[in-house]
Amino acid sequence: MSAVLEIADLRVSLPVDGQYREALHGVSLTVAAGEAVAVVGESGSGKSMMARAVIRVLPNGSRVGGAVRFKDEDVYQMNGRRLSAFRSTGIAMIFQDPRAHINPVRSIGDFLTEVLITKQGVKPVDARRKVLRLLREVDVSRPEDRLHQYPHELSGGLLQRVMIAAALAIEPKVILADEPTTALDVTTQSELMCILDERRQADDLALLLITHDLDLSAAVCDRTAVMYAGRIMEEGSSRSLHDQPRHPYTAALAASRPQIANNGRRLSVIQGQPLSAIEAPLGCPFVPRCKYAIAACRASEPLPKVIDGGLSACIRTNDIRAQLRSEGQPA
Amino acid sequence: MDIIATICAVVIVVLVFLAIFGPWLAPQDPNAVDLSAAYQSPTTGHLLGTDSSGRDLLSRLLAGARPSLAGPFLVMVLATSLGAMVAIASAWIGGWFDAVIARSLDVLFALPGLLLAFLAVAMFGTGLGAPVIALAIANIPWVARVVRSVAAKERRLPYIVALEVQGFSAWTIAVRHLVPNVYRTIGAQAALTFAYAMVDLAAINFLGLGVQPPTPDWGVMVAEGQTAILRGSSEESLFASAFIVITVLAVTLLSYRVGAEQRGGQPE
Repeated sequence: MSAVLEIADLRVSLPVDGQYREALHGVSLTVAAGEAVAVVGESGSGKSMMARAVIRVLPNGSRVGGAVRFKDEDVYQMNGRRLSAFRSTGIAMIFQDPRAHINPVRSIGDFLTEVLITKQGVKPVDARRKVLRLLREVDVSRPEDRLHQYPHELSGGLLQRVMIAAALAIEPKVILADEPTTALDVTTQSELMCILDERRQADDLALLLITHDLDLSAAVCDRTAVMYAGRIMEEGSSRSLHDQPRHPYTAALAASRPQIANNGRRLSVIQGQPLSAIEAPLGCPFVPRCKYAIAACRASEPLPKVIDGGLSACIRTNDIRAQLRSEGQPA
Repeated sequence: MDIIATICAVVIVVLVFLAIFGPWLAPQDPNAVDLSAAYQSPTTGHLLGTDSSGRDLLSRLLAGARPSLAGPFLVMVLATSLGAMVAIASAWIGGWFDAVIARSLDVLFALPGLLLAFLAVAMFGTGLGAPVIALAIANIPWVARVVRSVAAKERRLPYIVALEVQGFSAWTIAVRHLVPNVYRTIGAQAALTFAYAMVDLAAINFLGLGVQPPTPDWGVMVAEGQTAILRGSSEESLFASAFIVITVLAVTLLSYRVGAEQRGGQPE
């Protein structure tokens, strides 16, 4: 499988009070056609920044190093025309808050068909037929009526379905979903994720799912990357992250989820505050919160190493693997 | 239902109707001189009386709607379209471009519209053209300042980013998505521009620098009515002024009402 989306040593610096601070610290990740990859992490870990960097909508004045390649073409080397084509046919993004991300004064029909008509040259009649089919596929009731409705007339769940339909309408190669179901209730969430998953398999889409929900990533994605302070701490099959974590941070995250087997016991928490990449000290950024930290951890930044089929940015992975494994399990 | 807004809207519709059909509604030729009938008070023959040359005042007022309203209308269209374009470009591009535009607008703010209009008349001669262009330029910063602030706020909203992500050009997003979201602000500012331009152009015409007699412009009529006031008949100046005041009042009040409605509060 060749990678349709490749993020290679991506570094993003933002101007903070006149000085450039690194918000993404050399992130590498690949997604192949038909593959679903999750990026999980706490708030401020840089996962949304990564999504914005992939589609080249970073804040003004950002500096970017490394590369983002779509089908072997660097997104940051594209001219305006290529970039516009990439965005309107190659990649689609699903946002967390559909209400804020849809123009409130345009009808749903306009929103769904505008790209097709103006950027892909589809005839209005055909565009309408296509979006009606897609709305049915994402289980929107009375799709003909919806086309004439406005965003404020639809519920959040319905609007997110509309946004998924809009993403699918352009027949992209990659779908970038930034916490697509965080604002929705649990039943709607699972329905929507099922729809996305079906479409991914049917159309051979690459899905990059940004979420803070480890269970969701395990349910939907083949591989998961765990981000912390603008770095990828661990990457591996979603299953192995749960059962056989390689990094203390992953193990701690897994242990802090509520589990039915632990019913009645206090949830474990990770001590301290999450750091953003900007605040991270020298060495491993997780040191202040890590119970396995030793002096060597502070000395230099650990680089991701291949450890039984996955990557871990921890120098002690081999020493503490057994302890990590027991940490996430129900006691 | 807002009664004041409704009344204003009706008045504006009537004025627009007059501007289009005024010359045909006039019962008599607005320029027909009849010196034997000068300075008449309202009679059945002349419903609002006559002026110093015996011309029918009602006919002149009706026929005068078009030149009186066309000037402010042109100022409004020019100032609003140019001002909104500059403002949206400034808000969109930001950075040094925004700063340069903002400082240039500050310079324009310093120039009073009337002064600029007199200058234009001095350079290009009397008539409607020069003052209209001068006033349009003088009104650009007033429109641009307000539109820039709402456009800058709108530009940062997530739906604009989402549209960029869909691959739309800045031009498409600005014209098809941003403007429809801020058109009420643009509209309210346009109405105020019309009102200011109406007053300024009336002053210019009163001073004899704009529309030239015998064209029946309301501002010109206020000036021509001065001699009649000394003769004890103030109808001409009074009626012409009333038309100007009613127009300005209707447009201003409606713009405030619509603006207040958009803010969701009560009009002050």
